[in-house]
Amino acid sequence: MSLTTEQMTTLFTNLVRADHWGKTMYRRMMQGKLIGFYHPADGAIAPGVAAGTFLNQDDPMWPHHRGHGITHMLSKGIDIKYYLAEHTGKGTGCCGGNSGWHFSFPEDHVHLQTGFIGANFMACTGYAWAAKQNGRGQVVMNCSGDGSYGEGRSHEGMLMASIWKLPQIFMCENNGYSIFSPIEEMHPTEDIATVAQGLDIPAVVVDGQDVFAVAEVVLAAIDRARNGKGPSFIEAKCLRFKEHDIGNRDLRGWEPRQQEEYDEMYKRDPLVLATERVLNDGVLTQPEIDAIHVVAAQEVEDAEKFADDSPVARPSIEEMEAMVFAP
Amino acid sequence: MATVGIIANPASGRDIRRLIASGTTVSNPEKRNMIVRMIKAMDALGVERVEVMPESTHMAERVMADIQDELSGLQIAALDLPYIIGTQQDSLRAAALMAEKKFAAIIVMGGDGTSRIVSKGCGDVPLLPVSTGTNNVFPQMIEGTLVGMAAAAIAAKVVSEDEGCRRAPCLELLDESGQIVDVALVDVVAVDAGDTAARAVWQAERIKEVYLCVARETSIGLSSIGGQLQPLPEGCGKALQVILADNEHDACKVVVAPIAPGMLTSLPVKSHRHFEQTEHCEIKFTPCVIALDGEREVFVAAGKKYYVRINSQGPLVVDTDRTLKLATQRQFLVRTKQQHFSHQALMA
Repeated sequence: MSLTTEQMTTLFTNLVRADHWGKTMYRRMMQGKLIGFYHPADGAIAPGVAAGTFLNQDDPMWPHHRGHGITHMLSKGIDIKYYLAEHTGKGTGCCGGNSGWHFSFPEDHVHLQTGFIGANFMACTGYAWAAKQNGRGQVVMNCSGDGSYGEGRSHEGMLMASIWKLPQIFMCENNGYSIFSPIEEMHPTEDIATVAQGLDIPAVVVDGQDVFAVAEVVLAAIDRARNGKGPSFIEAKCLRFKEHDIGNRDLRGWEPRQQEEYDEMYKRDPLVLATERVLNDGVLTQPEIDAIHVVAAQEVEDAEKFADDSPVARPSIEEMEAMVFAP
Repeated sequence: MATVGIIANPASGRDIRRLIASGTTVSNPEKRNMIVRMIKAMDALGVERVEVMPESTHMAERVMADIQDELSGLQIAALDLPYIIGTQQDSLRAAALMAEKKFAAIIVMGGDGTSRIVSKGCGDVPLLPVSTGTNNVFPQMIEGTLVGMAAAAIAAKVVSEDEGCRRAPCLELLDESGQIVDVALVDVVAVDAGDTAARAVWQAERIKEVYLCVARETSIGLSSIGGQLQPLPEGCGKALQVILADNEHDACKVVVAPIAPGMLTSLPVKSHRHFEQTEHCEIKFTPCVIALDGEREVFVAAGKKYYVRINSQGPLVVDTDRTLKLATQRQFLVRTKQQHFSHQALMA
């Protein structure tokens, strides 16, 4: 129970970093300084921070595609500048600038990100089966949105994780939308947790705007997994402040989302809530918070300089063919 | 006939205690089933209107779509809340609106925490608290049909509030100036914690001071600490203070209590005593987080003074057993042959 002051400070710092990164990625996409797409995580950065912060380096993690997993990865300790370079199509990127935003960080056990929603479940269940076999105490963090639970693979993965009691954590970041479709049109109960309950996986629903609340649940789930108790399901109810991906309209069904919805959402900005909390609870002072922001801004500035100054990736045909596994 | 309100907390029964204890899971589809059974009972007994708090899982709308056309005269509606935040504020605002609209009764579906929030907004509207939470001391485990029947008896004034309801006690948390900061219906607990985080309290060694206005032998959750040590007779007007020791050497006794479902835990007790309504008990352990009805809510900085006192005039609560007994005595569910046939004609 109860996070320590040090844990709260780490979570808050990662949340601030995630916020700076989110704003930077949005700006760079609008400036034409990113290749591919970008799916902003604004409003929903808390679950990723909570999911990644307390994992070990050798715990496999599949980040959520929202925010392109930056929130999750920086919290796990990955240096994001190599990802920014990758997303900018530069040769210094984590995959040599060849992957767009479908990245890998093998040393940190983040592998093979794809654009297919729901692809994570089978891979993560495989990682978790391997983790159970190798006995090294690894935990697999399987992050995705509510939309992915409309994919058959999610049900298969959860079924196998349950019957084999795998050390797997299903982190469902439920922002209430599958692109344009509101949750009530996509799931009969709105709560994805009911799917896990049907498969005998203990399931918690938690306020996804509160990074500290999610983190405490994550710690309990990690503890269960490392102690051989099997999978856990965490549904973090969060908010999507912006459009599904930059360039698309922000619709609910066929209609633009209402201003009232935005107004109410912004009151529950995860960084605003966390800042109030650390100040009220005496965890950090305002000058300390300001210093965390300064460091986060500098981290982003340095990473942008690194990415912008790096050479554009220009792989030869032979090099590109060597990167493709399928015949 | 006055309207009956239903506040069903979509978040109850699903917190971290599903992972660290074997907490009961009450799914929202099951809560919806319970609402259906309540409404069908109320419809059969003449209630004309039920308003349900709108929330993110759309229980109100789904119940309307499922059964409105099966009802003989009862109209179901979603309470007219201008917006939904998705936090406990929704329940508070709903309760306040139901009080403003002078509802006959409010059925509250959740755990102790949900009832606490509703009690802060409901004024003098009687509550029917129904358990769909984890630790259930304040709300009852009772079949929804019977809840609907009791609500109908109160709404129809077959049983008056004076006859069928009682004032529940509550604990008031006061700051240094004597202002009420918050209230609890069962327990106020000082916890050695730095944050509210996932809210539930489940690590025994972090529980430092316990204040109870309900302590039954059958209590579960933090109230069980007092329930096993020194139970409080119902309606006694007193509260119980339990100070926990840091270890068993400093304790005068050790109590084993079910502080969460399936979690019987040993707690070293330094002292315990009843206290009266006139007394303000100072919370000595600081810094701490104060949990109200099992949920960490208030951060207390080092040296800050907070006090607990008991108020025996808390929310008005329907005694379902008593209400249903009186309704039966008054033949609420028995009709003459003529009444029966006219009712059937109405249903047709």
